[in-house]
Amino acid sequence: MLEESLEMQVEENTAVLKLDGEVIFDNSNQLKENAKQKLSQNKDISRLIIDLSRVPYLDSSGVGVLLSLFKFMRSREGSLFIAEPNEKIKRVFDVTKMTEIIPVYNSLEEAVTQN
Amino acid sequence: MNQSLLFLTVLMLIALGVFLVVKLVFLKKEVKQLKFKEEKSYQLLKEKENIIEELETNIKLKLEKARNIHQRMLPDKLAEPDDYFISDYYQPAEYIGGDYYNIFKIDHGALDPFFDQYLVYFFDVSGHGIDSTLLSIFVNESIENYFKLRHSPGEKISTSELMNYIDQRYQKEGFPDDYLVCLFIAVLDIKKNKLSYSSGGFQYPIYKLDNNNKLTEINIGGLPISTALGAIESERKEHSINFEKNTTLILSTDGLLEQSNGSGIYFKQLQKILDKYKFLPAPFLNDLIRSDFYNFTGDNPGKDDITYLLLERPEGEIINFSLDQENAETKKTEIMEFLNQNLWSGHSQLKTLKKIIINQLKNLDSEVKVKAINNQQLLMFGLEKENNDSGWETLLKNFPDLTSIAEMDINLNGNSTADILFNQAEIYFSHSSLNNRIFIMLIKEDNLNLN
Repeated sequence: MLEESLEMQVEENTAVLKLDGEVIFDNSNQLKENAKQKLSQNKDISRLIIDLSRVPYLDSSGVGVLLSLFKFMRSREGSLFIAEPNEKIKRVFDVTKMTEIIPVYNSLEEAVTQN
Repeated sequence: MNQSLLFLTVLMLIALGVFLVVKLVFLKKEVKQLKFKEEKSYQLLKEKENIIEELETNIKLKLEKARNIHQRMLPDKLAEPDDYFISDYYQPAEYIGGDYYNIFKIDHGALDPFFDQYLVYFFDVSGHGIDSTLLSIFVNESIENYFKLRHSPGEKISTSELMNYIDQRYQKEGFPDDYLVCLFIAVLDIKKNKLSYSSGGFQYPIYKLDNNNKLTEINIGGLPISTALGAIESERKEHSINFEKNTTLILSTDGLLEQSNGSGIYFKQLQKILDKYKFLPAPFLNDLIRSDFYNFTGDNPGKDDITYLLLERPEGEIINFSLDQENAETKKTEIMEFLNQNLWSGHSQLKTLKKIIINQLKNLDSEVKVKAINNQQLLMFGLEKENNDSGWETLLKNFPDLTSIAEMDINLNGNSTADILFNQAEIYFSHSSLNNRIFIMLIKEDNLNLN
């Protein structure tokens, strides 16, 4: 996944990070760094929604990226949400109980409207 | 007038000639300079290419070294309880993988006669770089430390406490927050026939084939170990699985189950294989999974480690002893008695099987461990030589008709799963990854997988 496949839109204190393509070992580090760099440019962001609607697959390194961003947001007393994961990724979240720490929503709209 | 015109024309031609000559000289000089620049650029490019090549070679060498370290870390031999068969398979990713597994007998010192427990664990750390090897070293060292510093002989071992110990150490080390460890850790209690375990991070289940021929998925998920999550003691619960006779557990990391062939992942196919060939003992089931998996992927090893482990407590009569020069004759008689027992001595291949075993047990130059099972469906004989430099080549030379599932072309049915009709006419052969142990199997009933 290249930098171009990572888009961030910000509205007030909410950022939507849209990922495109697989998140795997080969691209996970670059992706994490790019995302953190974008987030660091705007200190007002306290809600980060990661839109996974265009991510077909993520391996354990991909899960690592999400956990790293979870910690990043927590360190600025913010929160992280996941939106529109496919069934396979949703299953990963359910089985590994990550849903207990990171809220997962079926649609982006749902994630955006949550307080 | 005409002469002046002619003179002027000649003069102009001379001037043009001079101009052209000068121009040519300049152009030549320019071409020379360009060529020089091009050569210099080419040289620079070559130099850069060489540097990149050197760096790549260097990285490859370092990764290969780290891969060797990782492979050396894997145990030479897994401890195997008397009434169990343990069979493993590990294929590392291209350079380094993050998978590791081990089984060892838990030392209870002077209280050993009251306990018969084994620690079974496997883990997968994220990534496949040198870092993943360091992480593997860390997890192993933490387990070793726990038994050195925290556990006293005779004391109950709590797998959740052990996981918490590893988690706390991991947090203290401050590993990067995008790293994570998926860990399954269990105590196999032979006296209670129970496996108690805690785990975290795995998205795929393990499987249990039980004595009712039922295949059960056991979810071993839960949160992984990660500095992004911090220590999560309350999450590390302990669960248990009963290990009755005729039970096999199939443990695997994600590499095997996640591998795709373009139209699907191996996860679903493995369930079919386990269901269809549940009668097979662990070493042969291991071979079959391997053959079927590589058939499924078109021999593509994939990007992740392929690791799986089979723990079997078989039903039926089991013999288990060591054979050396001193007790050889007595034990050989015992083996023959074992082979002649039951109501199946009329098996067409029994004679050949006896020949193979006698052949293997003559001229003993080192200790041989014998472990065999005999039940209603099959007979499996395992021989293990500590020093087996020549491998089992002589055996295959003398008995070329032995059938190896690991090396055979498996027939495919419409679903592309292995379609092997196990039958009485064949003698099946399997060898361990270290090549120091062989298994020979006879089937007593044709087409067991159709039952």
